Amino acid sequence: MTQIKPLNSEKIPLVRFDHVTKRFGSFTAVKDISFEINKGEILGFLGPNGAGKSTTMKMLARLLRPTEGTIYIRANNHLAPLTNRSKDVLLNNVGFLIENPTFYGNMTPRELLSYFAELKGYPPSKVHNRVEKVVEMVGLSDWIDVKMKGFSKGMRQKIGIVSAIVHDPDVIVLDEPHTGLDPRARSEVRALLLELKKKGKTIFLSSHLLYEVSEVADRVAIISNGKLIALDSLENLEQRAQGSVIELELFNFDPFAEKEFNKTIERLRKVVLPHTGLNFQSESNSPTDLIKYNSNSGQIEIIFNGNPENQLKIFRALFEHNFPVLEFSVPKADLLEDLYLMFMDEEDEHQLAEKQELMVKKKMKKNKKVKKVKKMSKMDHVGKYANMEAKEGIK
Amino acid sequence: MSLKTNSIQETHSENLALSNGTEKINIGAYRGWIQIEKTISFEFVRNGKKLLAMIITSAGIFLLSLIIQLIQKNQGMDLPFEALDYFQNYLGMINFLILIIGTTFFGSIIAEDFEKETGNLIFPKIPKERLLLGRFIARYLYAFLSVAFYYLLVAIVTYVEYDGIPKIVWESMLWAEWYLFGIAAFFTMFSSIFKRSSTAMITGILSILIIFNLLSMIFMFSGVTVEPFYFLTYYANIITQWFHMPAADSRFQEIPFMRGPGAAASEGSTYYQWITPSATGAIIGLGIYSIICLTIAYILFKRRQN
Repeated sequence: MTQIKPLNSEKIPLVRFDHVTKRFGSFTAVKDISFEINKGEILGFLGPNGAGKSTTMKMLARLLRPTEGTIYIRANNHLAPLTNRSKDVLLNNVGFLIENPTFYGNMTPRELLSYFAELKGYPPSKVHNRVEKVVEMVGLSDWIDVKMKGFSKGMRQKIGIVSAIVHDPDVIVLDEPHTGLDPRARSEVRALLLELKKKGKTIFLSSHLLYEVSEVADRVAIISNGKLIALDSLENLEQRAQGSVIELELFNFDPFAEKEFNKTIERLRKVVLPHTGLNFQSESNSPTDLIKYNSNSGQIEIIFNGNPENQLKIFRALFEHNFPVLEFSVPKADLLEDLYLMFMDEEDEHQLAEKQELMVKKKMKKNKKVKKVKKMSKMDHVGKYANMEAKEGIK
Repeated sequence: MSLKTNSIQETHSENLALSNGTEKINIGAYRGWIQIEKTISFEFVRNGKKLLAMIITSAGIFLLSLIIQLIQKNQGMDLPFEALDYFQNYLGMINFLILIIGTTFFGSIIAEDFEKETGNLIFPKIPKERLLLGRFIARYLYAFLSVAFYYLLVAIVTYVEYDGIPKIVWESMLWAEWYLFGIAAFFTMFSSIFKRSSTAMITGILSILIIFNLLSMIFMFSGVTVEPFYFLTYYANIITQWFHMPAADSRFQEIPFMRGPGAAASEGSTYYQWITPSATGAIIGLGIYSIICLTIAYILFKRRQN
C-alpha cells in the first residue's frame, strides 16, 4: 500500500480514518484502513463491488459503528473521535449521500429538502430560497413541487446529491452519485462538484466511473476486499506504476504506407525514448513496447514514467524535431483504469500468495502434528520397552 | 498519534458560519427542539393520507353500528332508556378500531426506514431519539384525532336521539386514548424489532388478538388470581367498563364450571376472570407498559445499524 505521507502545513485533515475495521460476524468488510481527507480536496474512492466503499462511508455517517479503530472529524480546530455522543456535533457540518437514495414517495423535493435543511440548523427564513437554489443547480426546478414517487432514478439521484448539500456543509460525502445518470447529467454533476470545490468544500467521492473520478479528484484511494491498496494523487500513482501513456496523433501519418510508417516510428523512438524516464534497454521495456501504434484508436502510444517533467520534455522534443503533432494527450481515465487494474492485480497476487503461504503453513503444521504423534507413539513404545527392561532388571 | 479530543463541547456554544454568510442555528437544546418540531410538521404532511384513511375507517365502523341500531329500531326494538346505554352500543368495536389505528400509524414508525433504506438519508441528519420522539408525537396526535372522531360521531347521534350527551362519555374517550397510547408504544416496539413494517404489523396484531387472549385463558384455567396487568389487552376493558365504575364488585367475576354433561352435571371448579382494571391500575399499569415498550424500542432503534 502507498505510504501515507506526513502532512505538510498546508494540508489540514478534516477527516481521519485511524486503523478502522468493520466486521459483520466472521466476514470482514473493511480491514484496518487509515487515511485522511484534507480540507478543500476531492478524494476519489475506488473499488469493485463489495470492496467496502459503502461500508466505509456508512461508518463515517455513523450508520455503522467500526468494530475496531476510530474515525476522527475536525471540529473547533481539533480532530475529535466520532462516537455516538459526539456524532451530532461532528457530523453537523457534513453532508451525506449514501448509496442509491430512496425517498418518501408522497413528498415533494421542496418539502423534503426544506425539512433536511431545517434539521441541520439552516436559518428558517432562508430555507425557501436555499432549496430553490440547490434544486435549480441540478436542473429540477420544474419538479420542485411534484411528488417524488414518479421520479426517475436519475432524478432521485440528483435530489439525493442536493439533499447532501442543502444545508451548505463544508464536507460532502457522496457514495456513487453518478449512478443512474445519463451522460449530460453526469457532466452536470461533474461541474457541480468542481464548483463546490471552488467554494472550498471538501468532497469524499466514491464511484465506479473512473472517468468521473479522474476528472475531478485530487487524490485517489483504491480499496479492494476491504483493504486500502493505494492512496495518492494520480501523478504520484502514475510514477509508482512506472508508466503512463501519451496518445499522439500526427498529421498525414498513414499506417498503411509501410515504409513511411516504419521510418516515422523509428524516428520517434530515437527522439522520444531518452526522455521517457524509463530504461528502454531492459527486457521489460524494449523500444518496441514503449512506442507503438494502436490500430484500434488510430494513435501512436508513448509509454513514459508518468512524471510531468518527462511529459514536457517529450512534448518539446517532438516540436524541436518538427513532428507534425495534431494531438498530444495523457488520458486520465485510461490512466486511472490502468492504475486501478494494476493495483487490483497486485492485490489479487498478494492475496493468492497469502493464501498459498497459509496453506503451506497449515500443511506444515499438519505434518508437524503427524510427526509429533508418531514420535510420541514411538517414545511411548520406547518408554514401555524401557520400563519393561527396568522391571526385568529389578527382577 | 496525538489527537486533541476535548473540544467538542465548545462547539455547542458556537454558531457555525455558512459559506454564504448566514448563520446556522446552534447545536444543543434549541436545535433539538427545532428538530423535533420540524419532524412533527413533516410527519403531519407525510401521514396526511393515513389520517384520512383512519377517519374513513372510523366513519365506516360508526356507520356499521348505526345501521345495526336502525335495523333493530325498525324491527320494533325500543331504544335503550338511558343515553349512556345507547352510547355503549357503539363501543363494541372500539378495541378493534384502536388496534387498526395503532397498527397503521405505528407499525411502520421505525421499520420503514430500514425497509426502504430511507434511513441512509435521514439518520445522519437527526439523532434517532429526536426523530423517534417527533414521529411518535405526530402520529399519536393523528391517531388521537381518529379515535376522537369516532367518539364525536357517536356523540352526535346520541345527542340527536336523546337531546344530551352524558359527561362520562368523554371520560371513556380519554381511557380509549390512553389505551391507544399503550397500543402505540407496543407497535413501536415491534417496529424496532423487525426489518419490514408488514412483519411488525402482523406480529403485533397476532399478539394482541390471539396470543394475549390465549394466555389470559390459560392463566384463568390455571387458577391464577393475580390481576393481569401484564396483558395489554386487559386495559382495553376500562373503556366500556368505565360506565359501570366505581362498583367494587364489577372488577372481576366468578365463572362456575360444571362437571359432566347435561342434567348429570355436578358442581366443578370456579374460575375468576378479571373484567377491568381500576382507574389507578389502568393509569399506572398502562404507563409502565408503555414506558417499557418505548424504552425497548428506543434501545433497539439506537443500536440498530443499516
